[in-house]
Amino acid sequence: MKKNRFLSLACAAGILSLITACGSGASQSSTPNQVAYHASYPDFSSSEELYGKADLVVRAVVQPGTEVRELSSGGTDSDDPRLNPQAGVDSGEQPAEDPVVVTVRKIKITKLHKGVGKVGDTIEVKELGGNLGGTEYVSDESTPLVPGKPYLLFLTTFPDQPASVITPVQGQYPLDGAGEPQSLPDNKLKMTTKNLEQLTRAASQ
Amino acid sequence: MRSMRPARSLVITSLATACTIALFAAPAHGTYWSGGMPRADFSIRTYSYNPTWQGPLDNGIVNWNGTPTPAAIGKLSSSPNTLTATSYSDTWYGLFTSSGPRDSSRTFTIKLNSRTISRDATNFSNMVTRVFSHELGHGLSMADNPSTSSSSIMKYTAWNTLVKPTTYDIAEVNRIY
Repeated sequence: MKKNRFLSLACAAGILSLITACGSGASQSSTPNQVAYHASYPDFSSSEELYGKADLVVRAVVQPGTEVRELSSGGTDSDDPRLNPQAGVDSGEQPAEDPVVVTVRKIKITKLHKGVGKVGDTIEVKELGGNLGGTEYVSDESTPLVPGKPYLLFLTTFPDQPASVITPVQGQYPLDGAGEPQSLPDNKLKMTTKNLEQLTRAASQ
Repeated sequence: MRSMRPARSLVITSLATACTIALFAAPAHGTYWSGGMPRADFSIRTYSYNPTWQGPLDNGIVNWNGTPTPAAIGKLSSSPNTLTATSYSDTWYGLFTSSGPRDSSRTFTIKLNSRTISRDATNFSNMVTRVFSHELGHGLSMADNPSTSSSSIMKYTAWNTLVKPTTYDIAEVNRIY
């Protein structure tokens, strides 16, 4: 009996130790070869707002292959003090450029809902993080696009860099077998083909 | 009767374990981020931006230092931790990057995206303070979007109105440190 009780207590102690380790996040700590990214994004409260803020809305299939790149900010020469925090300030006082590591994938457009492009075009889309030079850059928020799978994507485009999904959670809808968009688990915004067609019509009027 | 004791002991142990998980595991995963700093007192390199940004940025630090928590964030010209505010070709408002193990060697960078902030700000000063406070919250080991109904600067909402750490945020920092 004492042996059974000892085993029970030992099991409980083991489980509690595991829980403590999970709670402290010890297993997620950065190592010398790991860099953690934590990005903050807008939260769109309606499909109209999401559609309105996106530059490019497409159905597309993710192509095989990825490329990891280091991207610099590019900055701006604008005189607008809101857009350019360095306007009128000695640039020598700023920290050195610290590039952001991204993984770039190609997507092939199968239907254009908003923006500039056409069916068959291939464009680049970037996601935070990737493995570069032996260092793993990990982004907690990213849900990587899956090669070969079709998506409805809400994108922001840039003249100098690949496009970005407008937010990792609200900007991508995997399509089911019937071609209907499916929200990611943390996305409260539902989207249907009918809803999207209404948004597209409203925007063109 | 005696033969029931091991079984009863196992049941009690299981219940105690389940209660422990319910009480502690979910909140820890919902709010704690291991990418933060090992201590709540840390420095950030002295920064200099135009007055439209500088004051609201400083308020982000002042707001955290004014909370009844161990948070004590100082500006230091030799700090390895940096803030960069400029226009990035991406969709985030802020990006917190942490490097190194969770000990005294850990460093971080905070990037604020003037492109998205200036686009979405209805109260510019408030939004700059809020985004910076949010990123400093990551430095204080708090994760995004805690699963709570309480107000929090770590949520992705009220970017233009909620600028100070809330009661919930203060309690979380005190729990973590």
